[in-house]
Amino acid sequence: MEHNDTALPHVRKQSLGTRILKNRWIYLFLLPGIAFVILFCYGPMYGLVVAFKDYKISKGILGSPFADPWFSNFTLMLKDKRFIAAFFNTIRMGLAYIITGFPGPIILALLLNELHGSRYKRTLQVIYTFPNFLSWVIVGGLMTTIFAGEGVVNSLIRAAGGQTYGFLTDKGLIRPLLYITSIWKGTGWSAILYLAGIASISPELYEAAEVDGANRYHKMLYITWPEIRSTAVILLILSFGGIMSKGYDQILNMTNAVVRDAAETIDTYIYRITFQEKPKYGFSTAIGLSKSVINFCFLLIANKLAKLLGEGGIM
Amino acid sequence: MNREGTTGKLRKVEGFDVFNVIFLLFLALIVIIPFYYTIVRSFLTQQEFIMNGTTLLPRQPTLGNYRDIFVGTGMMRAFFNSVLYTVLGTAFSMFLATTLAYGLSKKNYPGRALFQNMIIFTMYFGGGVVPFFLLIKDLGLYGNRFAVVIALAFNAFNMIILRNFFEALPPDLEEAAMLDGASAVRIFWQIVLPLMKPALATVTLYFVVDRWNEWFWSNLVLIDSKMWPMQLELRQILWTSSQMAADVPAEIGRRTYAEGMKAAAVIVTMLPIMCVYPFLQKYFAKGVMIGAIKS
Repeated sequence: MEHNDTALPHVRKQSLGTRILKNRWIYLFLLPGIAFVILFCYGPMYGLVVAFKDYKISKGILGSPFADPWFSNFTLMLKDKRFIAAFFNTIRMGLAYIITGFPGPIILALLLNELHGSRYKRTLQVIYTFPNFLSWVIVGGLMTTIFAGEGVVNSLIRAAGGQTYGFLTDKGLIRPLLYITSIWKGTGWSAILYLAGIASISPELYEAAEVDGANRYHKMLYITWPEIRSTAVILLILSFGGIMSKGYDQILNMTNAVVRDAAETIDTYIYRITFQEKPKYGFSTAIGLSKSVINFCFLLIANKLAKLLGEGGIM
Repeated sequence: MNREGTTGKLRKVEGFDVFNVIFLLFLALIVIIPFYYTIVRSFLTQQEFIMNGTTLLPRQPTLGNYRDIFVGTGMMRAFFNSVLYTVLGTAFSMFLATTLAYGLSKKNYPGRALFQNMIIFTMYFGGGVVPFFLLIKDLGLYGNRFAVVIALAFNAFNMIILRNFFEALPPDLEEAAMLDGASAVRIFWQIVLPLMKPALATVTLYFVVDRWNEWFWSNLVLIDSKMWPMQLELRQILWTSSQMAADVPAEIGRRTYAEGMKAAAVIVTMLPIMCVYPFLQKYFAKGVMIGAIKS
């Protein structure tokens, strides 16, 4: 899947056995990691077979009988109105997360790049990037302070003589609030990526442009932006790949029972039916498998597109 | 920004700079405000909160909310649990990631492409929550603290960051040591790893933060609340007494007290990261740059 620059040289013809023996210590290093990956990454992939089974806790993954017919969990899934709603909501929210979250880091990086005085720049970066390293549990708590009934926003409204409002209990507002808080948390950190790209641009390019009479907008548009465009495309691809799995973490920590339906995604739906209702593991797994496959396809398509655009892609 | 269009070239630049500084400071303020008001709220007494919940400075600051957190909830125990999971989990993760990354950084051995693709595939496709949960159950790890330490140990992105660092090392030292007859393990431990200190610091920090912030699997796997990490205890505090947005103003009298406690719990859980982050930010940023180049 990755670029194949490691093709074996055909110059020295040694037998496979000799070459394995010669490199045996490398396999020693690989052993723990590969064993772990097989057990905890490929094990669950094998566990996806539960999607085709009538899972019984007492019999486990291997012992449970296959469902009759084998695709019955998928038939149930397609008839499930809550799933269908969650499915479309996931795509809708995934796209909205990408559209709302994508420009911020680029703009922030470009503006930070125009700021002179590296000490201020560093302090600002520490502030901007810090929220990224907090859990959504904490960010959920912080946002309660801002948006809840007794929160900062409502205090301002009250001070201005208005009526307080339940922002977090409004079905129409919860999705925008999720996007906004996601931007609040992640923009600074994503901007670092672009800043790294900008920092690698040779100063000579700018100097040459200045000689030619370019002002800062010219430089931004014709030097800086083309340099970070490939980073931007790759990040966009990555976000399209994750479109189906964006933020159960955030949603589980920021939505209450009142607004739950408005922000129900496939992930939160799987979580709810498996761990908060009477579990039907085969059914949940069928949904999970469908999600993973669709997600994978999104990523392949996006990657293909990026390659067509001449930006290299990631695989 | 359009005012620049009408003025001369020199002033145009100045105008933009002023706008830029003001705008960036404004953004910083937006980041800071939720922290600031949560900190203020955590020091408010119940009366002051009811009188004026949003105030710039508490008139009679109290530590009562913090006392309640440590006396009235399992926060203290959860803190030690979190430290335990973070330390053990990070150590195990680093063991897996460094050995695997080192092995993959080597070239020209049979199976390299297979192993590499095997890892990369996991970044794009996974079994998902339910099979992972069933696996943990089948392995008999359900309800066991070590499920959290062991099962979550692998992170392909972090491993690839390390691999890129390994690949960037000059091979001369290793080759010289090999000629001297040093064993592969010794070369790794005594020559390669010391050269990698900045990279190891960066990736260790990523693991530490991931581990510290983990709550989802702890929630699913740790049945006994005595085993809960801090994030989960915080979640319990935030969500049990009143749902996040059950914000009916008429109920203020009873619930305000809980609000102060919640704020204090948020601050306490955040404090470890808040204390170290400003000093370690450059290490955090380093991994992004290396990870961004390849992968």
